[in-house]
Parts: sequence; C-alpha cells; structure tokens
Amino acid sequence: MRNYVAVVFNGPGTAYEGLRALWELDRAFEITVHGTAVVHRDELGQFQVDTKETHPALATAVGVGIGALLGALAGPAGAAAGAAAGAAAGGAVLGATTGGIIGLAADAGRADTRQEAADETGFVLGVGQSAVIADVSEDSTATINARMRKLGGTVYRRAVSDVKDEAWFDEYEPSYYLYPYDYMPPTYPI
Amino acid sequence: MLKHTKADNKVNDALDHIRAAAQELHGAISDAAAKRGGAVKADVEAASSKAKALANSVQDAISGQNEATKKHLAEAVTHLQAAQKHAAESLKNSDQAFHTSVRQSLTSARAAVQKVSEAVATARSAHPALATAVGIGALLVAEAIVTKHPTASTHHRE
Repeated sequence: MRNYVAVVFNGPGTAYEGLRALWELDRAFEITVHGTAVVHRDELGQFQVDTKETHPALATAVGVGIGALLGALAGPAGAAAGAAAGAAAGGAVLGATTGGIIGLAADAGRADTRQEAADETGFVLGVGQSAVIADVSEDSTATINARMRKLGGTVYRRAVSDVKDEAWFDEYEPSYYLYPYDYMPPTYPI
Repeated sequence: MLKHTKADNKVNDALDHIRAAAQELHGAISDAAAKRGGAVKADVEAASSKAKALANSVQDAISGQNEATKKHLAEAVTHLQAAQKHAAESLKNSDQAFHTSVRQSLTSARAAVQKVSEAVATARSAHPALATAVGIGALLVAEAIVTKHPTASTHHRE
C-alpha cells in the first residue's frame, strides 16, 4: 500500500536517524521509499524544511509544497490550512540560507482547526519537534512502526490516494517536493 | 509458492541500479540549480548526457518486466527525455531563461525518479520472497562494509 508517513521526533538528530533508518529499510527491500524530507518546528512555532535549494523560487516552492503536504497529513482540515499557510508564508523564505520556512497548517492555525486535525489523524508537530515526511510503498505498517518506535518516533499515516483526492496540489504530484534519496544537510551530522 | 529464478534476480538488480542512477541524476541537477556562477553550465551539460544515457538504459530494462512495471518505466523514459531536452535547451540560454530551463529539467528528473521508484515497488511486490532474501543479503554485505570501513556513508550531502 502506498502511504504518506510522518514520523515525529523530539529533536533534529533523532529525526535524521529516522531518515537514515527509512532508507535502510528500503535498501533491505522491506519497503520502497519514494521520497523524504525533514521538517523542524522552532521555538517560535515556525516550520523549516531542510533543503539544498538556495534559489529563492525553488526554496519557496519547497516551502509551499511541503506545507501543503504536512497539512494533508493532518487530514482534510489540515489540508486546507496547510496549503493556504504554506502559500502565504512561502515568500518568507526569500533570503533564507537553508530553504523554506513555512507557516503551517494544522496546528499553526485556529484552535478549532487544530483540534479537528488532531481528531482526524492525530498528527501535530509541536514546538521544538522534528518530523520525517516520507512517501512509501509498504506491505505492512508494522515494519516502519517498529523501527521508528525503537528510535523514539511516533508514526502517522495517510493513504496517498486520499491525499491525491484533495485538490491542493493541482497538477503537481505531492511527492515531487520530497527528495528521492536520503538528503542530509551538512549541518546535521549523525 | 512463487519460484524465483536468476533472471528475476537480475531484473530486480537492474531496476535498483537504474533507480540509483536516476537519484544521482536528480541530485546532480538540483545541485546545479542551487549553484550560482560559472561551473553550472558544465554541470548541466553532464546531466544532459546522463539523462540521455539513462533513458536508453531504462528503455533496455523494459523488456522482461510485468505490465505495471513496464508502464512506470515507459513514463520514466518520457520524463528523462524531457529532462534531457530542457537541460540541452538551457545550454543555449543565459540568465533567467537558463535557470528556467534548469528548473524544468529538475522537475522532469524528479518525475523520472518517481516513476522508476514506482517500478521498483511494483517489481518488489511481485517478488516479495525474493526481495526479502536479496535484502537480507544486502544488509549483511552493508554491515560487513560498515564494520570494515566505519566512515563509509551513502548519504547525499551537498
């Protein structure tokens, strides 16, 4: 089954361990990973995507796209808020050195939206937390769940087909915003 | 129970190699797109050649696959050809037009990796037992490499 997965960790270091573990599962033929990204939420509540894009247009696109995808992971309520907030905050990445700062979605918005998103999928990224976002094909959810639990991560899922049914991505495939390999910025050595 | 042959194994190996090459192509183009300055055109020229060669490899790998995998691979070829075309176009342009073409090439390369990855997933799910056996072998080899060379890393870094 094809799923979008968000694995929430309490710090950026463990998020990168999670990223590496996902790709190891791929190399072990346990799952197939189609793309990944790592997102952080800072103390001010802002979201930042780790990206190599230094071109403002590309960094903005990544911010908008990942914002919408994060919103979609939070369920239909989050999808609307995520796309709108990602688009609105996309311009804020101009001049940023390491890519997209995005204003999200499910829990950056109104309290009622936040509650609705939490009710739908449970996915909320708290202040100071980091998440690995991935597009995966998996025969069983147990494989990723067990590996991520060992690392202290909490896994949330939505079927890719459900996300695609929502109109927030237009003609652009949501996965295209994710790196198709285990990109790690030089600032996060593990 | 499915019987797996050496031919199955070779087919899956070939797809994994193709995916690795497609991932490298995307990495090369996205690095070029992120760069500013003189070295970029040479990088894009190299990426253009790589996209063309990869499209040919994918074309060759189509035969022997199941129908679903063939479909993904055929789409990957189309995207790779577009990536090559945009990269070649960018070399004729400068400034904004150059960067626009590079971004189009990057988008096509990303789409190509996606299709190859979907082909890999389809092929793996068609041969799960084989995939698991190969995976265990790959893990043992990887562990041996890491034990022997503790600094070895497969991570993509800028």
